[in-house]
Amino acid sequence: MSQGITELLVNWSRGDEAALNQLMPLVYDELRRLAGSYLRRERRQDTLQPTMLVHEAYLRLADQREVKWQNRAQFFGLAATLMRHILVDHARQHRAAKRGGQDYRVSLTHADQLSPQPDVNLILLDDALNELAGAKPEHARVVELRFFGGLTIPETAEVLGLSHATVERHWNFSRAWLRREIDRTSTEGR
Amino acid sequence: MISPERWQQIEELFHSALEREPEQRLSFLARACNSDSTLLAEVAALLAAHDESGGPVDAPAVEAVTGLVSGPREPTPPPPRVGQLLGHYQILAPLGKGGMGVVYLAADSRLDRKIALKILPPEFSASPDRLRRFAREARAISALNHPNIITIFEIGQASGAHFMATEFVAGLTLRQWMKAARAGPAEVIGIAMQIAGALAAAHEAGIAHRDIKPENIMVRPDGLVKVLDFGLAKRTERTDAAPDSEAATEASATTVPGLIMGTLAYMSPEQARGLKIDGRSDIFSLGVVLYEMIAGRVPFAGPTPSDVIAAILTATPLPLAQAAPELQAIVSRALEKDPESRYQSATEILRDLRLLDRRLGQETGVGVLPSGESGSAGSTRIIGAPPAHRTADQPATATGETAAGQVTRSARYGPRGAGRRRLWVAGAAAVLTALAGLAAYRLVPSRGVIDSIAVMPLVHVGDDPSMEYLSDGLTESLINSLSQLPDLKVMSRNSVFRFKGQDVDAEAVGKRLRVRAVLTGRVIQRGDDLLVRLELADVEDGRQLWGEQYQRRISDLLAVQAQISREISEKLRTRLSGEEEQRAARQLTEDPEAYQFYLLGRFNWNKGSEEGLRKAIEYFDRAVAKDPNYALAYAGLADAYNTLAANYQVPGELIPRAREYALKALELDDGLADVHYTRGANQFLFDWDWAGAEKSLKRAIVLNPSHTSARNVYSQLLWTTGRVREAVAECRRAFELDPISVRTNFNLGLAYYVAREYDRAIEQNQKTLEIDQNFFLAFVKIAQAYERQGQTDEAFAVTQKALARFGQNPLLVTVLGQVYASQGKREEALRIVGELEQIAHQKYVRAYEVALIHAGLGDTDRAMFWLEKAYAEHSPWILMIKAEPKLDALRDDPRYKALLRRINLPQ
Repeated sequence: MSQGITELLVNWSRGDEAALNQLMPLVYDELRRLAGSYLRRERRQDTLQPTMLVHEAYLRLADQREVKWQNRAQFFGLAATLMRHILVDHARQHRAAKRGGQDYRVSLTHADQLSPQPDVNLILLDDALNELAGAKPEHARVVELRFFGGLTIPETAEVLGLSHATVERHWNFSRAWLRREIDRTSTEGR
Repeated sequence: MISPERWQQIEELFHSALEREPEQRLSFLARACNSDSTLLAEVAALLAAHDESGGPVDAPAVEAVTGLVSGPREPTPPPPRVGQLLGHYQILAPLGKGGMGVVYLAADSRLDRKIALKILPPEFSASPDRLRRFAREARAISALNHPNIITIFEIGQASGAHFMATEFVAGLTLRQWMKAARAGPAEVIGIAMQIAGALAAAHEAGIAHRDIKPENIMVRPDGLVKVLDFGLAKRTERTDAAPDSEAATEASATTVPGLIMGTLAYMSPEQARGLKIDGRSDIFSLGVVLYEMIAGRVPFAGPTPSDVIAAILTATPLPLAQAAPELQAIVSRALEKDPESRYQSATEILRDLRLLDRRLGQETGVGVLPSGESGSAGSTRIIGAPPAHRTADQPATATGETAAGQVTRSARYGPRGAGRRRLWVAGAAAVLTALAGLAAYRLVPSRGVIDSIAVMPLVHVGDDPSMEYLSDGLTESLINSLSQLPDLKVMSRNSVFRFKGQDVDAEAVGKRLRVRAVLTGRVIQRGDDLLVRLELADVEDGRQLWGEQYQRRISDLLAVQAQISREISEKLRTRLSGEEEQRAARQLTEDPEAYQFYLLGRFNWNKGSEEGLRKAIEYFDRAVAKDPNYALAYAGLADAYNTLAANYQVPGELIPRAREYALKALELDDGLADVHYTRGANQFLFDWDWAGAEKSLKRAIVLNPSHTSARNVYSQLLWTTGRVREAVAECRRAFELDPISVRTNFNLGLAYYVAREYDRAIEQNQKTLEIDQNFFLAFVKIAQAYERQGQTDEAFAVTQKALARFGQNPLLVTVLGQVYASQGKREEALRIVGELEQIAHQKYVRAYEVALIHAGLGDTDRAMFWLEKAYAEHSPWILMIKAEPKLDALRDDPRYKALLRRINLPQ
């Protein structure tokens, strides 16, 4: 299996879009499994930090000997986006479960798989991030990689092919902007 | 929409500002933004957001979702654990977070004494140069050996962390002290003198403090003041070592100093402008502290950092009407904008303070200061200060000493200080040591009787904000039980809780609420110990009518509440019939735990958010599990389900539960206003049983004439069923009881609207917005009233304004559609309907309001379709159809008439 992933990564980096389609579900499943184990609080400090989640997925999926840094960067870029889907979906399902109504039962089963603690803020954040992406797509990508992917500034710079300083500037601004935006939207909703 | 140019501008300014020293950022922005105040506000807000930690993306997403707190991401040494040894200091307990990092109580194993240990921030200790300068200043300060300046024992390093060991001051910060009780002039002057003494000594040695504020001043139980962090706090914040690039950038990117908000209010004008400062800047800051101690608020305030700066630079503070003229003069001189016009040295202000102190002392015949103390420069002592042979570096430790100090002080304080004794907490982590009960005042008002009262939110004092429900809950219980008294108007919760968190002047609030007496107090909680301290003041002459304190365990809360109610009612009424007295002090459950759960439930219910309601249900459930006969807790459950169903969910399955709980509550106790209220709301909103609802709500009002919620819902019932005149009258009564509550104000506006008195409706809703500018329903009603009057341009302008402020809220978008319809802009209106249909996939869109768009366009068929949809959802909004002016065009339609019939509304 790890061989497969590596190959797909290499193919993808050569421009093979079909490889990406095959890659996505594999990475998604692995991330979801890992994220789930954190969300269910099975993981303790003795295993990897949750921040390292995409690293862990990468270690599990890719054959170290075969893959170059370039592929790794690509992998991280992909993984961060997938993590965003996983976590935001998780939050949405919780909210739905809380609200009751039609999708109650469906979401409850999902909720059972994950943690009992809902986090609606993630939904607000997701919305705000989409908003940011409308005006500043590169900024939003930095946030995705840092926040959802858990990447450091140098890693983010590598993935996006930007300088450290630029990533840091984007990050500082986006971080402040998101906070302000979320404060604004969450105080009005009465 | 923000244009790309604007984005660029905002972002560039943001980064340029960040490149500057924290103190200079705002003045830079003010210059750069020139007259563009929107831009200034935007960037200032972003800077403030940047400076706060704990933002939405500060912890990685996985951690945010799981609530896992992993170790810090940057390589900083782990925080010390209790019991751990740092050098020869053993960590005993965390004391709190200071301006310079976390502070611990520790034991010095060599000298067998307790000390305070501050861990210095890592980016600070990273630069050897800064560390050297820091140590040099610390030594200079310590060499002064001044009783009002904290003694620094050592700056050291162990286990990878730099730390500072200082004298441990068992006391409160001046901030906590101000919160704990309102101080008299003598106490205020005593504290100010000691701060001035410390400043005088330091200035003489050439050291300015640079950050005088209540957080940096400790007050010991015996009254001795200690000024902390001389010249140091600012040093640690600034990266004023040669900007050794990378480390500095890294530091500012990760642990940005808490620039503006915290200390801003205490900055001198020259400091705010980023100019060079000297000791006179400290005098200004002392002036601010002094002002705050007297007035209970800072002299220069504003909603945003730039407003605060502007106030510091230009505004004249409001006069301190309640202070002696000499004291006012001292404060004014300290607060002069121009350093040249200010006191030129701390010795000067100290001299004036002393003169005043002596004069006040002579007037009352009780010296505030022991006479002849003036001796050496700056060594002031106040009453109860330790005997001269004890030096300042001997920390007060034992509780016994605390109490002893207090006794001395009280005795010397004599009549002036009585009833104003403070509570002392020995050390931040220490046990509560409070005074024994005091002889309460036994006074009656000078004139007339007390016929109205406002119970102000009791202030919670404690480290754990999650215990706030105790103070809030006790406040509510007091409001409820006092409401049982005949002929006494009691301000409702809504009105008084507007003042929560504000340090209010009882007299001013009383006048504003139009009541005769005001009850204020504090709930001080340490672990399981609870201390409740109350004062009842006559609004007319500011006299204290009664004051008492109660020290109990939390588990005794019930008994305290009953006792307090009884005593207050005694004060208010000389003669109460036995039955009335019983009613006021009635205990509604015998189970203290159930009572606590109930309080937690109400606390969350009052938040009004969906999540709050969910939590409220959990707690009420636990309350009834503890005491299955607890009627109020069932009423709480019914309230929570009512509110959820009316606001957050398709009501469907919630309705039967709300009904079931209301009935259960009623079965258990039919003598409670709250129970009849919730049943009435339920009959009105969901059963559409007008007669039953009217009966319940009227009963609630008889049981508690001050129950404004019951009056509000009753008024809605009245106009819903076509009794518009009566509704307006009922709203007015609620309004008189509760003139500054958002709900009573809004409700009155609503009644005017359905009464088709549009001018009044607009005016009333504008008043509502004056109280709470974020109450967006008021915008909705203003727009709709304008529109009904044919002022469609005004309606459009108001809607646009609201949309700009609140974003694309579905209801506001719907109202925009209604406005378009009334302007005859058919296409725009229909486009909005299309958008709403999209939004409806994600958010709840009020079908009823969409119907109003179609009604406005004259599309009766479509309007009826949406009204039917609202009916099918069993939405309470459908109840408006009879009264709604916008539906006048449908009145003759047979389908409309049939719908009225189905809702039980009269034709």
